[in-house]
Amino acid sequence: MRLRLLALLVVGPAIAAGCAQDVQPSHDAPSRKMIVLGVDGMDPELLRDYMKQGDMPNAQRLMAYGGFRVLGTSEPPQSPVAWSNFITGLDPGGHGMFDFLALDRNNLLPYLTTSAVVPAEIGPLEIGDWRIPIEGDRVTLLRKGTAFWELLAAADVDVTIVRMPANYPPVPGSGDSLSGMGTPDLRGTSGTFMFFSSDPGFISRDVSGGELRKFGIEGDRLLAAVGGPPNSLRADAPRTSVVLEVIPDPVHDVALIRGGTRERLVKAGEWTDWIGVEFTMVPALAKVAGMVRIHVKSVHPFLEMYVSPVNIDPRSPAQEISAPADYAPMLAGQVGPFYTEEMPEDSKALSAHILSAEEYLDQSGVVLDESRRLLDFELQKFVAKADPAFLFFYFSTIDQRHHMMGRHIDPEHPFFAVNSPPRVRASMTETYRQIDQVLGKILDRVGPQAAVVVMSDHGFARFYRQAHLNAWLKEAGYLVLRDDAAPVSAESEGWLSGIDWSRTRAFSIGLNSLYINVAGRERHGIVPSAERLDLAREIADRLRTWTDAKNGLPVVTSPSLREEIYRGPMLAAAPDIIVGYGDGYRASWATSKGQTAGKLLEDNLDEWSADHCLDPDAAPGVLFSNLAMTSPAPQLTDLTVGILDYFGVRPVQGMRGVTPFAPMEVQRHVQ
Amino acid sequence: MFNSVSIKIDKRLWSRLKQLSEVAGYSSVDEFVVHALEKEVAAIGETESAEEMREKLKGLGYLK
Repeated sequence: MRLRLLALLVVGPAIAAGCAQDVQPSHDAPSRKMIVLGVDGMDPELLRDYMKQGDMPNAQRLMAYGGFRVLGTSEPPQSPVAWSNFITGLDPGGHGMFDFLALDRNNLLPYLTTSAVVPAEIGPLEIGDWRIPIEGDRVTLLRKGTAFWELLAAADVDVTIVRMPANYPPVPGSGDSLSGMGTPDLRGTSGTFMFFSSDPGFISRDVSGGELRKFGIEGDRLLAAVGGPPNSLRADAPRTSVVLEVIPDPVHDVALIRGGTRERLVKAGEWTDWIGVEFTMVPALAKVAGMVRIHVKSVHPFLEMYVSPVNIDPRSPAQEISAPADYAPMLAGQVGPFYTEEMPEDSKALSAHILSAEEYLDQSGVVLDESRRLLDFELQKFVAKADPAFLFFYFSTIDQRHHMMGRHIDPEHPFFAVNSPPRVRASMTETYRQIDQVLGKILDRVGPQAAVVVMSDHGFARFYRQAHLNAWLKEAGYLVLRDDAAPVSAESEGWLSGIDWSRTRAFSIGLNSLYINVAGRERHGIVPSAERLDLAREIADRLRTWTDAKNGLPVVTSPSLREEIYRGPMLAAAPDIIVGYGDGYRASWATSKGQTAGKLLEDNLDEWSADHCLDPDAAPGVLFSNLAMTSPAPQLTDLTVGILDYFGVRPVQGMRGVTPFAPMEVQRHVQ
Repeated sequence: MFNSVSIKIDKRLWSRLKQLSEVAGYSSVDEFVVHALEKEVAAIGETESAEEMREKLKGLGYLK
């Protein structure tokens, strides 16, 4: 895999490599402007391929002024981790983001790594069935460290940060900021879609990330109860809902949707725009605003309707999605409402086969169009701004499409879709083209007056085989199941279930995290603290020997001890081993929940068919810019320092990166 | 009160606590502070339930 990385280093019109420059910034913020386009999941190999085909003319145009580099990603290369490296200039030992899932060692339950709800200091007054809050619960960002734009803002740089991942709730007091990955839907989940059918034979059920329901029927009207947030003002916290009425035309493929803010006539195959919905907490007194997009899949013979997760309405946000608080409403006022939930491309609806691959492309296209509108507006502002100014803007489309299109674009995939429509087959080429068009617009609008940087947090790799890490630990004698442990499948619920903690020395939960069951640290720990490191080393060594009997390939290529790769005050919170799988492998669906499957490996037959949560050398990101670069192999944390350096701002303690950019005297874009 | 101890807190915090204890119907600031601390200590180590976490995470594409 390292050979692949070396080969990529020479891609593009890179400036001759030299020694990295020491950071010696002054305190005077130079009169400069910079735009950073954060393209989640942009992959150097695909970028090279598409450039060769002539699909990325604007990327080539940008590189011609400056340079291109493969950008080293985080370990593990998961988005919350990688973006936090970039945001803080620290590794996970400093910022404390180690995996999508973190583990509470006291109760052995996972929690979302990025944010947590802190209950109000004083509980509510309970009057009958009502709970009257004296003060509200608070959502807190769990990422540690200083965001680089806090330093820029402190140096009087005009800062705008749009949809930076791992920034919910957004850092206050440092320019304008709209939250991104980590932002929940209005129900407080990572996104829960709904689907309604009028087919009498349809069976209502829940699927991962969605609720499938049969319409209620009243005469010629179909009723869809869209679930909202729990009513925390009631003692029993019942789930709120809004009922939409749907009236199918008896002859034509069209339906009238009533409810929410207004009526809409929708043809089969069409998407609505945003429909505002209000969930009543206290009749006539308290409501919470949300919004949904609806896709009518068919009207006859049965009406089938997809309803997006209920998004926080940016026109009247029920949660803190921007800083200052009026920034999100201002944006919505200028460009219209937009998705506010994290990773809004509805991969779950595709995995559940509620949306087809083409419908998924349509829906993710809506997300992309909204992002373009937001960017257009911010670009106008940026051009008009006085120096110094900084704009970060994030695009999720490449990442979320690549995850789902892997099986459509890769004939070697075990779940290859033989009969994909041409549009689906060409979807990744088209998506890269679309991002290139975005870049073209930036270059046309900004001209030579600003530094333009395009970067990604990681690239992409294949996800052919699921690695059941807990099953491997069991076979190797480190994990023991109880005699009554039930067999597991990908759909099994529960976390770390069936484990006999009195005899288990190591276990895995999350996508790349392996924990030693340490006495006094884990709830049921048995391994003496003094033996922890030796045991971790032993397991890491044995993991390197795990090969796939199907093809002889190594399953794990980079098992790293936390002490070897992390530095900082959060080190003790890290998993003991960060498991970097080989290209083609990823933690199984069961392993991610801490489940122990009955086999070591199996094919990945899910629509989620490409991934990047593996060996960081197998999924590096990209960095290209109209700034010339000196560093031959920059890391995300180097880019952080490079941005600060561009504005003459000193890095803070703990940032060990070195700017990847050449000194300003040799930069051409500003001359 | 042989088994009690005293701690020093900032005057502004005390004023806030006094205000809140009155709103919440406590008979004294002491009673309110002790109750708040008891709740806080009990909550240490507790997070959301397994079911709540499942509900929260089920939309994350990386998990099933």
